Amino acid sequence: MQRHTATEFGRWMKRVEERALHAGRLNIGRRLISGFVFIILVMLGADAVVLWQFHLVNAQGERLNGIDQKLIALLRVHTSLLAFYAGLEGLAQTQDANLLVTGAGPLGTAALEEMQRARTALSLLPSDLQRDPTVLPTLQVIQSALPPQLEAIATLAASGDWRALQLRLSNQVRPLETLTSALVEKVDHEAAEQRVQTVLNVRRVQRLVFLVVPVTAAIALLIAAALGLAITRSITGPLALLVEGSKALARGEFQHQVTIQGDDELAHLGQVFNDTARRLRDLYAALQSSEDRLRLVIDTIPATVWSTAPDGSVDFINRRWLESTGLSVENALGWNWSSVVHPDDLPLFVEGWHRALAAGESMESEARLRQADGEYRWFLIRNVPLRDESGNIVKWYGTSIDIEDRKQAEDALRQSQAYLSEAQRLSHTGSFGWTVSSGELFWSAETYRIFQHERTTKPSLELAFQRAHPEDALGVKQVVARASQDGEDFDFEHRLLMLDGSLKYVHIVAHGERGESGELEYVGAVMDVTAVKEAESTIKRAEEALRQAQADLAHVNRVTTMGELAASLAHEVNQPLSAIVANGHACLRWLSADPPNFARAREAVERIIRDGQDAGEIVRRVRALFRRAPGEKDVLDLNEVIGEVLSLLRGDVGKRGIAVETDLDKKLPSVVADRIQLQQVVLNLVLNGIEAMDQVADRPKTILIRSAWESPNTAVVEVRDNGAGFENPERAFDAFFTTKQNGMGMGLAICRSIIEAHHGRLWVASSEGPGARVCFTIPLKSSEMQ
Amino acid sequence: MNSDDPIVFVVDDDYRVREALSSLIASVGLRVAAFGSAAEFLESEKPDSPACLVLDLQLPDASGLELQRELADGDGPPIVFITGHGDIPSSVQAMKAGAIEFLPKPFSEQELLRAIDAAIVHNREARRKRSELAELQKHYSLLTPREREVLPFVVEGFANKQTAADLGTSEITIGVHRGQIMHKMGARSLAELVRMSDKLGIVRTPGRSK
Repeated sequence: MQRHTATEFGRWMKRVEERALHAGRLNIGRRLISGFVFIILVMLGADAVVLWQFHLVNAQGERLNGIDQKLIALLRVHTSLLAFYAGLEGLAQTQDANLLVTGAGPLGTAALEEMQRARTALSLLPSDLQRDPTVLPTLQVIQSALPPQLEAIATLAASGDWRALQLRLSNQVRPLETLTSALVEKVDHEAAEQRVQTVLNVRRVQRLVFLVVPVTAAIALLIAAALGLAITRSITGPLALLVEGSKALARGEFQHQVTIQGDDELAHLGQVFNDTARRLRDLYAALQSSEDRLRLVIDTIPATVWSTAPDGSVDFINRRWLESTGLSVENALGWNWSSVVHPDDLPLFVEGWHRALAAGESMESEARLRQADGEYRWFLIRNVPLRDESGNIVKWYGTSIDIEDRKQAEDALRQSQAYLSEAQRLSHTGSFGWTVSSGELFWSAETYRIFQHERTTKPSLELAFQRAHPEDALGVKQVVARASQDGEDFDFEHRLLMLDGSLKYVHIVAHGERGESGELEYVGAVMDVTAVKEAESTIKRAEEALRQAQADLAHVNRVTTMGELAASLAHEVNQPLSAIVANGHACLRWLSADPPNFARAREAVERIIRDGQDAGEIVRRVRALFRRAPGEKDVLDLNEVIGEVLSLLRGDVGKRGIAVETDLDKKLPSVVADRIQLQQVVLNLVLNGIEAMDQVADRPKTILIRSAWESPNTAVVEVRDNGAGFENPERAFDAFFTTKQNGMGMGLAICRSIIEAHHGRLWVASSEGPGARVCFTIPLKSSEMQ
Repeated sequence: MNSDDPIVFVVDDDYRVREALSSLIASVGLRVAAFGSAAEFLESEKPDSPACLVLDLQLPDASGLELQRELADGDGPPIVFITGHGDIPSSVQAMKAGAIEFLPKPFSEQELLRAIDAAIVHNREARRKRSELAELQKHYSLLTPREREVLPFVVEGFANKQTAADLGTSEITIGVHRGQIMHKMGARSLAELVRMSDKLGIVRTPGRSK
C-alpha cells in the first residue's frame, strides 16, 4: 500500500518536473505566480477538508442537542401528564365535585399548554429529527383526547359517581400516560444512539485532522520545493549560458552564440545577446578591416609614427620605426625608445619632450637615432597632442622623418662655407668675381676686410682703386684696363694705403674666362701678404740675432766646458812638467857622475825640450778653445780634430777609469769648418758620454768615437758610450734641459745649432745595448766646393 | 850584477814620465825596468832580487790600486805611488794597503829616491825572512808524523815521562824521538828549537786527544 503511494508520488514529481521544464514556454512571472497559486490551492483544499469535518462534527452536536430538546419536551409532557393524573386522582379522592371541577380545569389547561409547547418545540426541530412520525400524532391524540376526558370526569364528578370516575381515570387517562412514557422511552433511546454516533464522529474527525494537516503541509512543501527547484533550474540554466556568453564577449569572442531554450524572457534575452554578439562581430570585423587598412597605411608610409599616453610613454609604434631601429616592440614602448637616441642628443630631446608634455604644446626637434646597422641618422621628430571636447590631452601622436641626407648636405655646405670663410680669414685671402661688361663685382667677406670697406657697400672697381697706394694706383688701373680688353689672366702685387695711414701689401691673382654667352668674367683672389712681407724682414733680423746669440752661447758653453776640464788640463800639463823635472834631475846626475855620462845627459836634455814643447802645445790648444773667434772656416782633417780633443781629455778619462776606443776612417777627405766650433762639438759629446758613465759599476766604461763616410759627400762622426743613455732623446736638444747637477743644459742644443750652421745634422741614434749614441754629419770638402 | 842587486820597476802609461824616471833611477846606479801598463808588468819575467815598484795611480787598463791589490796576495815588491791628481781618498787607501810612499807629480828627486831606497831595504828584509822560514819548513818536513806529535810536548817543557804517559808509549821511545827532532831541525839547544817552533807557528799546547 505504502509502496504504491511512493511510486505514485514519484510519478507525480516527474510530471511536475516535466511541466516545470516545459514551463520554459511560460513567462517567469506567470510561472512563479502559477507555482504559488498551486501551492495556495493545495493548502486551501486541505483547509476545506478540515473545515468540512469540523462542520460535520458540529452538525452532529446540533443534532444531539435537538434530540435532547425533543427528549426534554417529551419528558415535560410526560411529567405534566403524570402531574395531571396525580392531581385528578387527588381530587377524585376528595370526592368533592366542586373541588374537582375547579381543580381539574387548571390541571387540564397546564397539561395542554405543556403539550402545546412540546409540539411547538418539536416542530421547530430540524426535519430529519422529526423522522419519527409517531411523536407528533401521538401528542395530537393525547391533546385531542384530554379535554373530552376532562369533561367526562367533570360530568362524572358532577354526578358524583366517583366510582366511575375512578375507573375512568384508571382506564382512560392511564393509557395516555403509557403513550407518553413509550414516547419518552423511544426518544431516550434515540438520543443515546445519537450520542454514541456523535462521539464516534468526533473521534473520526480528530483522526482525519491529525492526518490531513501534516500530509497537506508535507505535500505543499514538496510541491513548493519541486517547483522552486524546477523554476530555479529553468532560470539559472539559461542565465549561466548568458553569463558564459558575456564572458566570451568580454574576451572578444564575438562569434560566441548562446543556446536558446524555451520561449521565456531568458530565451528572449539570449536571442538579444546573440543578436548583439553577431552585430558586434560584424562591427569588430569592420573595425578590424578598417584598422588593418589604417595600420597598413601607417606601417607603409615613409615615416615613423607612434602614439603616446598623456604622460608621454609610448603605447604604439609603427613597423617602419621598429624595422629601421631594429628594436622589438617591447624595447620601444614606454620610454624604452630613448635607447636609440644618440647620447649627445638625448638630454636636450628629453628635456624638450618633457617641456612639450608639461605645456601641452606640440614639439618639433631634431635628433640622431640609432639604426638597425648601428649607425646614427638625423631625424626630424614631431609630437602633436590630441585633445578631447573639454580640452584634456588624451593622446600624443608623433612622427619622425629621416633628414640625414639633408642634414649632411646642410652640414657639408655650412662646413664648406665655414671652411672657406675661415680659410680665407686665416690665409688673409679674399676672393672676388668680376663680370667685365656689366662691371658687376662680387667680394667675399675677407676681400671686404682686406680693403677695409663696409660689408654693406656695393663692391666696385672704384672702391678697390680708392685704397691703392697713390704710387701704385696708376699701375693697378692699367692692369685692370688691359685685362678688360684681352681677357688674359693677371697676377700682380701692390700696396694699399689704409685710412689710418698704415700700409698693406696685396697680391692679386685672377683668371679670366668667357662664358657661353661670350661675356668675359674674372675669378680671382686678393691675398694680404703684409704679414709675409713683414715676417720676411723680421726673419732676417731674427736670423742675425740668432747667429749672434749662438756665437755668444757657444762661447759661454766653451768657457763652462773648459771649467769642467780644468782638472784634466792640469793633469795634461802636469805630465810633461813632471817629466821635465825628472829629466832635469837625471841630467844633473849623469853630468855629476864620475866620469860624467854625457850621452845620457844629452838624452835627458832632448827629452826636456820635447816635453816642454808638448806642454806648450797643450797650452796653445786651451787658449784656442777659450778664444772667442768663431766664423773662421778652415780646411780641416776631421780625425785630427777628434784627436786633439781626445788629447785634452786624456787625463780626465784616465782618472775616471774609462777606456777610449777610436775607429777613424783615415781616408776621409777634409771638411771645411770652424775648427774651434767643431772641437767644441766633439768635446761636448765626449764629455757627455764620460759623465753619463759616472754611475756605471757593473761593466767596463768605454767610449767609442767613430768617423766614416755617410754618403759620398758627407762624413759622419759617432760618439757612443755605455752609460745610462737618454731617457728622452728628443728633449735632450731642448735648451736648458739637463740631467747634470751643474749643467746649463745648453750643450746639445748648441752642438746641434753649430752642426746645422755647418749644413750638417746632429741626432741621437738608437743604441743596441745600454748607453747613448750621438751622431753628427758634416759635408766633405768636395761637396762644400760644389 | 849579482842577484842581490836591487831592481826598480816603473809602470806609467805616459812615455815621457816613464823615460824621465828610468833615466833618473838609472843615474843613481839602480837597475830599471819600465812598463806602459799593468798587464805588461804582470806578464814580464822578474829577476829574483830585492825590488821596488814605482806605480802611476792612473793606468789605462787597471788602476794602480787594483794592481796593488793583486800584488798583495803574493810576495810582490813594495810600491811607491806617483800621481798627477793627488786625491786624498786614493792616497789613504794606497797607504793602508801597504804602499811605501805616495808622491804627487811633480815630485822632487830626493823624495822619490829616498822612497825607492826605503822600499828596497824593506823588500830585502822581507825576502830574508821568507828564505829563513822556507829553510825551517824544509827541516820540519823531514819529521815523521810521530815526531811532529812529540814536538809540541818538547817545546812546552814536558818531561819525557809525562809525554810518554800522555801519548801512551815508553819514556825511552820519547827520548829517541826527541834526539831525532833536535837533529832533523838542526837545533843546537832547546831554546833554539822553541824559537824555531815559534817562527813555524807550531801550537805549543800539546794535543791530548789520545
